[in-house]
Amino acid sequence: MLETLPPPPRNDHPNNDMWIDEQIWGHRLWDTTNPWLIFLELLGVAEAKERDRSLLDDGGTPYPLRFKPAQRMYIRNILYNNEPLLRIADEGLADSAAWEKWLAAMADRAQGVPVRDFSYLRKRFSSFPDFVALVSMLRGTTIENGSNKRWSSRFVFPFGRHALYEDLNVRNNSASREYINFGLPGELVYQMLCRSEQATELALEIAQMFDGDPCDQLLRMLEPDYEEDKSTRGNSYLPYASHETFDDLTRDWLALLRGPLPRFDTYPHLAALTCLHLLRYQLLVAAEYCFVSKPHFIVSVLCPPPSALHPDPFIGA
Amino acid sequence: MNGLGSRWVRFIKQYGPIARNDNMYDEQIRRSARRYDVEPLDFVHPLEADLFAAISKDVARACSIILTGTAGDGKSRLCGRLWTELGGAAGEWTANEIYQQISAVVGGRARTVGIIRDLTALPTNGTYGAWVGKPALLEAINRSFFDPDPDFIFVIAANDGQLLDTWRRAVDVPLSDEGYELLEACLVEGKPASQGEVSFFNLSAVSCATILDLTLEAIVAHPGWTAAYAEAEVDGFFSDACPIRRNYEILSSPQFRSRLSQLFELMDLNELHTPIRRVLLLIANMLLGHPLAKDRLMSPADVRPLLRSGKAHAGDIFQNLFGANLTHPRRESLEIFEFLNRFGIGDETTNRIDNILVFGPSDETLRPYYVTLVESAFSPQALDELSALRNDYLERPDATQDGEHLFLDSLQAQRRAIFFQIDEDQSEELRLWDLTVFRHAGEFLRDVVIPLRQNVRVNRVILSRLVNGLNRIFTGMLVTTDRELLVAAGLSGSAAGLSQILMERISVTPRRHERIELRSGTLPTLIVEIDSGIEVRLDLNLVRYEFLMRVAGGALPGSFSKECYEDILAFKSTILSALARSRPTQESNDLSFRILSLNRAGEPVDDVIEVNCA
Repeated sequence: MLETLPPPPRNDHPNNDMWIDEQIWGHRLWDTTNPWLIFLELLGVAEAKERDRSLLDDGGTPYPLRFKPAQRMYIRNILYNNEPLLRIADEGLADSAAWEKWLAAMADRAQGVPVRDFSYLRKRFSSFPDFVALVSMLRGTTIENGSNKRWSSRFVFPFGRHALYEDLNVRNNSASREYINFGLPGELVYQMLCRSEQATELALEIAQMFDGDPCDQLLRMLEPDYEEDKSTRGNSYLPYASHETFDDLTRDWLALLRGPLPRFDTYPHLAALTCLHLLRYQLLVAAEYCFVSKPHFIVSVLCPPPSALHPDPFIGA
Repeated sequence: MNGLGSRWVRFIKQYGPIARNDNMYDEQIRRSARRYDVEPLDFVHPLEADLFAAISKDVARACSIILTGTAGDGKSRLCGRLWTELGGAAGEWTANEIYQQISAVVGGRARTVGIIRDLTALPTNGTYGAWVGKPALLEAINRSFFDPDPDFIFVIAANDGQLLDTWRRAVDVPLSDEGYELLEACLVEGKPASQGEVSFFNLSAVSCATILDLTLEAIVAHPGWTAAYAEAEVDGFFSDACPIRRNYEILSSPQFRSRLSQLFELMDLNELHTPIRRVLLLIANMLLGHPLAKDRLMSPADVRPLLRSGKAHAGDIFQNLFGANLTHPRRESLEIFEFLNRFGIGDETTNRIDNILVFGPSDETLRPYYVTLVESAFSPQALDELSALRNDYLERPDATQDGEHLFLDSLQAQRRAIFFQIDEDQSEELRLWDLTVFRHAGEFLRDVVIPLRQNVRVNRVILSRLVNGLNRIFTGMLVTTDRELLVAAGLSGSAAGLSQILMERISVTPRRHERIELRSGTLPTLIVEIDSGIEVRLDLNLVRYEFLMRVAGGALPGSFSKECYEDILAFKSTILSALARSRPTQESNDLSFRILSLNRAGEPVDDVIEVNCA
């Protein structure tokens, strides 16, 4: 039988009387999500920890995982709560008139920001059309996320730290944490990576995912110079101090990040592989609890030169 | 009916797609040749000379030999040939023994050569020469790889998949890891490993066009046919109307052979390998196929009844070539027919060809084409039947109760025949290759493959169109640019459908160290040279060539082949990483984006948008 860490103190999860699934697999494997959302949730945690200088390093205390994720409300208002932008761009006003009109509209409409003032943007972009073109371009990279159209739950491609923020519900100008898109599996994955043998090596690679991309710099230019208020989050729980799937997951991440692909081209694969390992984790732990042997997936692999090599079609979970 | 001609035809039938085809295995072929008392088929395998050289008296270094390839590539047969070449008596080479050994002078001195004709069939517990058990034998083989002057050398025949598998599983046998590495390097990368020595022959790497030419020549030239002519029976076997004779005569015509050979060459260029056994199966089916015969293959005795019932012409070589005589599931299960049917011959067409088929007999201008393309391809019986169907169709073109008009069904068969009737001179005019899925296949062979093989530069127009196709896929826009390669990326990775961020333009004509050109290789290869010595290459198989040409011609990249589309995007990704390595971006405080858009002429223009970071 697998040895688990002690359950968290009862008061940490007061509404959860039946602590059963959670003790077997953790809190929690949320199933109404998708690989990209898990990936984004995970990167959000990693970014917060990197800011704290404790990326993939729990200092010997596996529970609780506490972190302060970014909210980036200025960027999110510009990207996703900005219906007037294209309309004003189409009106063909003189540059300063267009800026004035848009700034007025945003002063009225922006939510969850301390000051509804976006005038800092004017001196950063040489013209309103340039600003519109770049914002549209960034919007084009939004991660597809099913039917959810709420602006505060839309996510831009993870170019760097300025593109990472938590899922929020904004009501009456105040934002609260939302679990619909980020339902904690990303936090579990973070802890898995953290507890794997090669965590230190992986931390160096992950740290490079946060800075340096031009689009990340562009996103930074969409924010005023200010320090945002961040709330502390963290009530996830991963019951094992180590597991073979944690190490396999890290190995796959390292292989991709150190491989020849351009960095962003690895992201879809990282997202998919992360889910594959989560699935393996779920199955292997379940098999262990039921005293059955390792389950198998049947995977058919295309091999480009026909008949040169036939990869083994059975992959052990 | 037991003359040589008839026995020969019955012997060929054993190669065909029948439930128990005796001629599957080399061991059985020799037995059945004896039973029918005919000369077995014989031709020199293209690798035979190299193989003999590797085991000759004066070879510079004696080492073990691996013969690998897929089932039916001729491994066992080559083992047998080696046995006699080394001085073994033909009678001692028996089907029952998987391992046999012989002493011979190889590389200057006497050595023992052990021949394993099928590694997988070798029982674990057996005595092989001086070795007891398969592990001991494997160990001896491993030693022969790494001994600079081995006393024992081995010839090992094994299917490619099972070869590596055997070494992977032999964890307890000394030197197996090193042996595995050596064999993997030979098989996968086709190059020698860092240490160890082995002569490696991959029979699957032999072009199937070559195999087709050799087997066809051996079959067509066999004395059995002369005997068959001599034995011709009135209204029966090998009479004028006999379908087997008709098929044989078409098969031996240069026109048919060269077109068939082109199809095989295109299969090579599509990386589809066909072993000798399946080529023989195809030839047997072409000659003898008939949907009404037993096993769907004719025997000499079937000819007379078929002629009498007026059904003989259904055994038509042009249909048999595509397995039309077989049941649907049987055809699907045989790889060679699946490969050939991928060309879509019979289903693809042009208005011109269909006009000839429908109005040819009555239209003055089309009539000459009808005569050369259709009338010469079918037997008088088949033509009568076609003419009745056509007349009926022209009068009442409505569908029958059972579906489409029967004449429409017959068009497929007619187009197949026409594909082989159009000669090279007419191929441009009648757009021969439009009768296949690969409309650019003829151009690919004529203007790319053959010039490269002769070390001639490929016409610039072809290269421009390929570059245009690449540009449309790389940018996701309908650009007209064909003199430079537009390496564009999406913001979020290179695989985005629309890639608006221009990273680099690479000149097609040499400029500094940049250039784009086609070079020869196993497949024609498109080379993008970014800087001195830094090249990115794309193997152009037939599908990719067709894909790029169609995209250049206006097709949408996603509409032809998802796999090709992804391959080309991956190619772009490789170019991008090579660029990133060879021209690293300088750190600067300026933030700017080169955004690509199209002007009215479809030419790409890039706007630079700058952001003030200060």
